[in-house]
Amino acid sequence: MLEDIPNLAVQRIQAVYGPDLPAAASVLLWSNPSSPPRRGTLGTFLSHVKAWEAVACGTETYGVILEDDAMLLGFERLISFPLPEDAELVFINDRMSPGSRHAPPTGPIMCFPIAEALRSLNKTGQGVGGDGYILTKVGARKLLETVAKDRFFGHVDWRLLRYSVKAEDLHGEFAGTRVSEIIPHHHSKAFPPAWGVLRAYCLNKPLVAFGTGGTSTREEADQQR
Amino acid sequence: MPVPVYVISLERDADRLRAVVDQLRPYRFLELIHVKGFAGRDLPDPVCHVLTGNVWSHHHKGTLGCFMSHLNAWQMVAESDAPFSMVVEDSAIFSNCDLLETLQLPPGSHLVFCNRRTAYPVQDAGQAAAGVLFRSVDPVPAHIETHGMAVGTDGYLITPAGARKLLEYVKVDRLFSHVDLRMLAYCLDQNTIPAPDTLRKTGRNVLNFRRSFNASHRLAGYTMLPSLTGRARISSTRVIEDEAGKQTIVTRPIILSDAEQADGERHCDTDAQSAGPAVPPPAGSPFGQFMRGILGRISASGRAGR
Repeated sequence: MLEDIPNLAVQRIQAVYGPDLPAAASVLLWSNPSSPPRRGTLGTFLSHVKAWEAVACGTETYGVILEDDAMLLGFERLISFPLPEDAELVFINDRMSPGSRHAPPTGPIMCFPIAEALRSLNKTGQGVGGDGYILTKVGARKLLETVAKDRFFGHVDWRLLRYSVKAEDLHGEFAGTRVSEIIPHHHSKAFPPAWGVLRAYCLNKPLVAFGTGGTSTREEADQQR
Repeated sequence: MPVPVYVISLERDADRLRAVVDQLRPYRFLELIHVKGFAGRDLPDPVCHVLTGNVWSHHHKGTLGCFMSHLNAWQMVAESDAPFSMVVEDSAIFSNCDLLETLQLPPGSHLVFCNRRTAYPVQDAGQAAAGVLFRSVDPVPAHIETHGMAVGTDGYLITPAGARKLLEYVKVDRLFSHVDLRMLAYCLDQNTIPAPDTLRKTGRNVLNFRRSFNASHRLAGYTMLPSLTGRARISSTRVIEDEAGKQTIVTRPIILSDAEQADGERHCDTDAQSAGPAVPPPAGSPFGQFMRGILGRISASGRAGR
């Protein structure tokens, strides 16, 4: 599908399969003494870190990171909308968009503030999803430097969202809502991650949606010792 | 009961694996098990930093991958029912392996280096002729230094208890530097080793490691005669992976903040670890001094190079 879209240079990132990591190394990377590593979740996190590295050392100013179960929704519109000048991360998936995956994949795409994504998450009760996001070179470098300190506990998509908001963004309208319950607490107590590392946006309409019906590599790997 | 032999080899190195299998096939009492090696070049930079506690470790991804490959082997040994196993790398060449059929390790031992590089000269010719000889590893740091060699992990014998100990120790001490130096260091007695400045190169690093890690992290270790393994004259996978890993370096070296330094120190202190993260490490612990020394040396040499 991607090959049919002009002006895309597709690069496959060899993912990290969590159960291949030595158990002792998983413990170090997971960095949460109170919970044993979920190795599929850890592998997913590290796979995204590899993708961030690919963006950071690439020649383009930004890259799009897709998981292999992402379904494209009018993806050719990707190159037709302007990125805000300060954007470092843009979630392009349906779970982070107020638009519907079921709407016709047509019409103009524009960036919305990340607060729109928080409202969507509160409404749908879904996870953030790492199935599709745009990451700039600068954003990738910031992520790489930040995770070296914050380590790799938990779900990478919620970590991305944590890096996309400031703690005070969850006050006011979002106080007491689902996102304000999850984002501040989804981490190892020994390594609370940074807030507001990136300037992040979401889209009015999604360009990708997660595939349904297949098995999740992450969940399958989580079941392994 | 067959003696398990864990052969560490990258998936892409089928030829090397086959060479090991061909050498060991005549020994029917050996059970060969492939341990999938870990390609260091695949490790993202921040992962290297977290695993080693060292901000320069992304320059040595092959070294880290080698360490992780041995972790995989230790995990398998730890779960084995055999009294001991042999762990070998795919660059190993073998001799005297018939001894393994009836070999019994010294009671209470955890690790026996069975490679040529750790086989320092025998003082007593009578003893040398007496069959298998298990000897103290204390002279090994000086021996490898005078012979310009590394310790080597081309071959060692390890018990399940030894493997379990190693796996527990590295969760605290992390995976900095070379796995062979680390293994030897754990076999030395912190109270009896000479001062590190009596040696200058690899041996000094081993002694420094011994001093920097918790003294209770000890293995009952030996070296044996005759040796069972040597290293073939082929290129080092570790070095290849080190070089390949440098092509993907992204992050700038980050100088550790005091808090991060303290974290590194805490990870070296088993008492603090077991008591929970609230216990601060003593200021200026050996690990901290060691790391600062390394950073200082690198930083100084970097300046000199400009």
